[in-house]
Amino acid sequence: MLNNDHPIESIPAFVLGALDADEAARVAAHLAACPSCRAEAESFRTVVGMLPYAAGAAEPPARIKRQLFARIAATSAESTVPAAPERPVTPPSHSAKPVRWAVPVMALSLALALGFGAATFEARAQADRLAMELATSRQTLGLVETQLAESRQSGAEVAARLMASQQQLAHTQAQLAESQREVLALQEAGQQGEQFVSFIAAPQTVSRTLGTTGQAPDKASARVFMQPGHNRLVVLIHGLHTAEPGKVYRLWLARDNQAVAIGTITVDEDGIAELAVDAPEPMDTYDQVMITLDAMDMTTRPSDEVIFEANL
Amino acid sequence: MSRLSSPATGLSTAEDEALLARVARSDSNALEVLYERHARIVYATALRMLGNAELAEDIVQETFWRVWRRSGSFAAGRGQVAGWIFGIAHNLCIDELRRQRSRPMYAHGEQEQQALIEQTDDRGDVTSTAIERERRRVIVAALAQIPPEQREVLELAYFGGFSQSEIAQRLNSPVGTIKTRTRLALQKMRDLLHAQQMSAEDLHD
Repeated sequence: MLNNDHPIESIPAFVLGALDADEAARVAAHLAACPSCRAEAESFRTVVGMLPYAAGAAEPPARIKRQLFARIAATSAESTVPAAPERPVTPPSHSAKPVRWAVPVMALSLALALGFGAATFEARAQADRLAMELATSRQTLGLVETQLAESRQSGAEVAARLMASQQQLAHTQAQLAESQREVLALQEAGQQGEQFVSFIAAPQTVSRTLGTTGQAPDKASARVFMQPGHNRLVVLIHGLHTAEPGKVYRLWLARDNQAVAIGTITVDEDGIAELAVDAPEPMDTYDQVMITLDAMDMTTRPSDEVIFEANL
Repeated sequence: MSRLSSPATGLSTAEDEALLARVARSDSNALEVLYERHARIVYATALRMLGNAELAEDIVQETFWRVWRRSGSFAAGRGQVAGWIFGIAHNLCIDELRRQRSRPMYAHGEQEQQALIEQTDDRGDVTSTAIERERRRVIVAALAQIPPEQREVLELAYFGGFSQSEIAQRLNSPVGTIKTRTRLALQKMRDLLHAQQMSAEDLHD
């Protein structure tokens, strides 16, 4: 394309306005600095300036000219004040006419100038740009909407799954809580059992089988476990009936004929009862133990309904 | 370089420059004369390029509005006033065409144009001046003398508003070939018009 760095091959296209923007800019820069190429371009410009005549001639509608000069009159009227000092210098035939013409048509010409003319042309260009931007925006919007719809769909799925998971989680948590309660209860029971077992199995523990009275069921048996010098007392009972309503089995300890209520004993459906309790004093300070069937509220002295009793 | 000026057109060129100088001094009467002289060619060119009367009318008004506002930027002694005015109109048409072609909905549906050299002389004859008819005769004669493939790229470039790379694409030819055809076409046209001018001056001497 370049001939000894002169863009000879591109100059005719440049004069025709038929180069892409970047190449046109390069050629223009070269022409600015190169007189011979500039002269070459000028020689083509004369030819190109003749080309429009090949298209023929056609009379534009008369209103085009009216609108053009209304537009010019409107802007001339606008610039009357700053241009005033120069006005007297120009011949009256040139300066007076446009102004005189401008006044009566001012209102109309302004409207025309604004309604047609540059406004129309530039508005169309702007409208085209806006239309293109709008088309692009619409495309983008469409894309985003599709993506959004897809996201919404998968979002709904995810939400449904999430909800199901949450429900499951809540259920599981409830189960877990319940299990934990059960575990705690079991642990507690286990601990209690362990306590019993460890206490009963300890080498220093001594036991006494309590004697039954005539009021005790035939196969009833009770045994107390304790350690000398310690307050802890464990009672295991078999073969006892559940206490009738309003009554309760109560454990008493006595010394010097003075009985002290230590605790109540609950017998389960199998006739078994167990009680671990701490006496107010060490066990070896008491000389008697008994279990009576007492009225619920009678805690000051044991009733006559003695079920088990033993001397310690 | 040579200025294209037969005795008739030479007078017209000098008059144009004087008129433009008055336009530069905000003389709207001078602009009116320039309009009367050149608006018909501008309109016909815009009609041919855009194929739309409404758009062509806008081009006419905008072209002479720019002549009014930019008359000071015309470099006297470099080219003709008419060529300068046509250049303004041509640029506006190219802008419009490129805008149309950049539209997403543009469907490459440009109308078939009658070849310039086959165009009947009827259009505009009622109103065209002797100068216009003379210039038209000269340019059409010159166009008729260049090879058809060169005339084609010239028409696509000037009246079609296509860039060299766009023409290369349309004609399925390398850009280099298109540029060469364009250069050969304009060089030949320049020589033909120069010879025409010489013979016209000889004739009148």
